[in-house]
Amino acid sequence: MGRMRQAGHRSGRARRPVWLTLAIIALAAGTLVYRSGFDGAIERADGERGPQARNSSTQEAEQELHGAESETNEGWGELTEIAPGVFESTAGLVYKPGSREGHRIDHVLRHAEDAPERPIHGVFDGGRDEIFAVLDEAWSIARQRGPPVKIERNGQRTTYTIDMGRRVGYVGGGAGLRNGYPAASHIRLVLEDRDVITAFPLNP
Amino acid sequence: MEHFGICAACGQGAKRLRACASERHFLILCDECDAAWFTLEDEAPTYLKQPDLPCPACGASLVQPPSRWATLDEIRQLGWGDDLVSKSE
Ligand SMILES: [Zn+2]
Ligand SMILES: [Zn+2]
Repeated sequence: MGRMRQAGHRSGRARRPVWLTLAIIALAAGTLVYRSGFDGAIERADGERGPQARNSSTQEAEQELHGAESETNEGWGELTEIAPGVFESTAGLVYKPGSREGHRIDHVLRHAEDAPERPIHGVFDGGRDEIFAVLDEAWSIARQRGPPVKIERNGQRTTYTIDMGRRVGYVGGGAGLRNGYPAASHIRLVLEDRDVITAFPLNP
Repeated sequence: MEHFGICAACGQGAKRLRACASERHFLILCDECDAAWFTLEDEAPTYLKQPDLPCPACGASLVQPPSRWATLDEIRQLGWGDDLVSKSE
């Protein structure tokens, strides 16, 4: 069962006028903001099963909107339900229903742990929140189209291979077992438009 | 896990034989990125429409039940048993 977590409070934010806060509250009304629990089980705050969500407090919704405007890493990896079952991350990645796991969130989270039966299987460091945060960081780098990013396009599909410049996980699966589970410093992000098809750490 | 090798499109997934939800057709599908191939000789993948991945032959989903991975027996009956890189009996 998913472990519900509260979005962390952030320090150092500038105060904004009351009218602006009220406007943001109005905009955020009805929006679900969630931070995920780790074990892949998904439970909405309204009791329905489905991509994980919980009702946010107004303050958290306000923080989510604030984070979306920012290019800093504050709030990266937070997912907001923008349509039923459709979640957008702080950096703008979109996770929709799909895949044999039922939702792209769960498809990506297969890479939260090793899968020895697979021939190769990148495994992210950290838990669920860290995974969606590092994917947002990778996407932010990819959008800058700098040298650490390799981009391949095929129709509406784009594959980004991003050099994160540090360890972000390890190579698992059969290949990992044979090679001593080497550290992985790149992230491959497979998108259709901004919709995440899959993402995993690797050494290209 | 039966598969025909690593998907060249994503470099991560295994190319596996998938039965569509009508269970009348089989397609090679990457279990990571959903790249699809009609034959093992095809190099360029096809990308079916997300999220349901409709079967090119009948439109039935390659994701929704009762779509499933083909059994080893089915792979052998199709004559592709020798092309498997890995198989578990
Ligand atoms: Zn693939
Ligand atoms: Zn079919």
